[in-house]
Amino acid sequence: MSDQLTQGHALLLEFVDLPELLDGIGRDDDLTTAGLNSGDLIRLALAIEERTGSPLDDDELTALHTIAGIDEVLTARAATVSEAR
Amino acid sequence: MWMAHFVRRHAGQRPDALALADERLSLTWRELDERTDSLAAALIDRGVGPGERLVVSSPNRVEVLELYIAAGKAGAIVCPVNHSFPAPEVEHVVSNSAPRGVIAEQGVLDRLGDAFGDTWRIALDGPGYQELLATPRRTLPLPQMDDLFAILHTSATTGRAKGVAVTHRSVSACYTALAAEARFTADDVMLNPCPLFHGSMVIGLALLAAGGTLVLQREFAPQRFLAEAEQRRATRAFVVPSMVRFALRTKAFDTTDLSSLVDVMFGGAPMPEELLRESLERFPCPFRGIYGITEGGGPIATVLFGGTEDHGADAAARELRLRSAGRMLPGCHIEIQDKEGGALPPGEIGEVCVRGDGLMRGYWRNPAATESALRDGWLRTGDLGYSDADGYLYLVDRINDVLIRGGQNVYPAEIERVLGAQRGVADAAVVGAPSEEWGEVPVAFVVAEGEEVSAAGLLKACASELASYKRPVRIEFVAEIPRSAAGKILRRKLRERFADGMPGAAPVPPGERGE
Repeated sequence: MSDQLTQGHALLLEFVDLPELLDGIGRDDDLTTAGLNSGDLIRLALAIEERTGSPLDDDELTALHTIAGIDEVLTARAATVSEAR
Repeated sequence: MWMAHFVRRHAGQRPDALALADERLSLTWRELDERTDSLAAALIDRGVGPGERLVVSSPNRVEVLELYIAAGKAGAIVCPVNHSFPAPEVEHVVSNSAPRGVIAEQGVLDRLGDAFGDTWRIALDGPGYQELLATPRRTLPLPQMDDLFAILHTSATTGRAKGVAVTHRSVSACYTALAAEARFTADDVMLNPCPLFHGSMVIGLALLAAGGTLVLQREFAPQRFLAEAEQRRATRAFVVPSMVRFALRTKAFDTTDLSSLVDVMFGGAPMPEELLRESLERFPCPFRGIYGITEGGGPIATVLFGGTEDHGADAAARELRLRSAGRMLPGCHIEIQDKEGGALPPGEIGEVCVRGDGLMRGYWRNPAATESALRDGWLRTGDLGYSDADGYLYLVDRINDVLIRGGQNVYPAEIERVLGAQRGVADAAVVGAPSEEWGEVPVAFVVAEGEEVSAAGLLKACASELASYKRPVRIEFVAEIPRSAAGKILRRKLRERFADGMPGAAPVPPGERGE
């Protein structure tokens, strides 16, 4: 099962207080509505900054409210790093 | 009359200055006065007149604060409700306060619907709110200073929130205290990411009463907090310690221009000493600790760290004062008392008690609880502490079982009530475990008596009945809950399991699990 998780979903699982809340959640479901608290999303955002090495901008922060959005941010940042190389 | 008074005063003296702003909307003092006049008239027309209750539930936005002010102008009593509350918690607040109307964001109304009862509901982000704003202004009688302004529901030892009833006088006392001590001025710009549904909202109102500009953030994101502080040239910020810790961890912190800050005010929970030291080193401004209690009308003591305040010439005393909750604010008389209400001398530990104009009138329709909390004009805070010879207050423990997660009070009884109602749970106890990020987090110990009970199931039950900050981060199954001969939970014994600092540091051996 775990190998079917997207990168964003897997990262999210690392940082939520109650991973059980993510059971059955859809890629486009709002994470706050699903019951995640603001601290979960703050930790996630800080982890993305730490792992990718640069600050998140406002659009990226907004995108982090869904798993699909997290995947998009991670993909875009990976592409930027690739181009830079 | 406080709300009408300070808004009209500034609308007259600085009509075009910015009063209130969020990311979508900015209001000058003139606009704020006009809009709140219209809203006050509209509320009265809809039955929310003097003494009637109005529920407001929304993330931070300009409309929330203008509704508080409008309700104050109308003589109505505002009942803020945490927008993230699940239905059972909202139902309790609504049942307790019996509002005549509800104004909330459409998303909150959609999610909670009938939990708000059968009174009228208006979405503050919909056309109904615009209709309220279109109501012609008219002269309304000024409420009295001792009329109730708000009922603030707080977590409680009984497992159900109690409504703290505060007056206009109480809110004005907070202004008097902070204007004198923190020296708020009309040139101040305060950034406030803290929610407006609990007692700390009086700090924003105090800044407004000084004629300053209050900038609201919808929710806290450390990156946005820093960006807005720079962009707005904020002179003040009001945060809880967890927010400071997160801000320091952002990639943007070291490149953000925070030079406009006069100070950063923090409250809700003590700031760990190592975090305070790092904050003073990396922020270009002092930090002001605020010790307060909703029942006390908000802040009751303060201390400025890293500024010009004189904490004594003695280096050891200055070090010790990094752990102080502060000295009493003007108008908030603090005394350390024994159980009988006798004053204790400096250095002796007792209960922190306070009196002054800021105190609550009492718990809404709960005379027994009021009698217990207010004795002979003193509010008994439930905090144990001592003062030194110079009047610095030090907190050492709590008489009640409250734990503070990220600045928000959580009473174990609330969580225990939910857990105890689940099938297969024979007994449950909740204690605060230390958390680097949040100060404390709730951890539940459960005695199971059936096969069907699982940690995941219990956590989901908590998620459906409790606000997110009240949910336990972990469930530990144990063979029994330690209790005294009188049946009282021995929480200290459970907290000993976290001696190494983090939840789960002392996991329950498999043989003791009750599964």
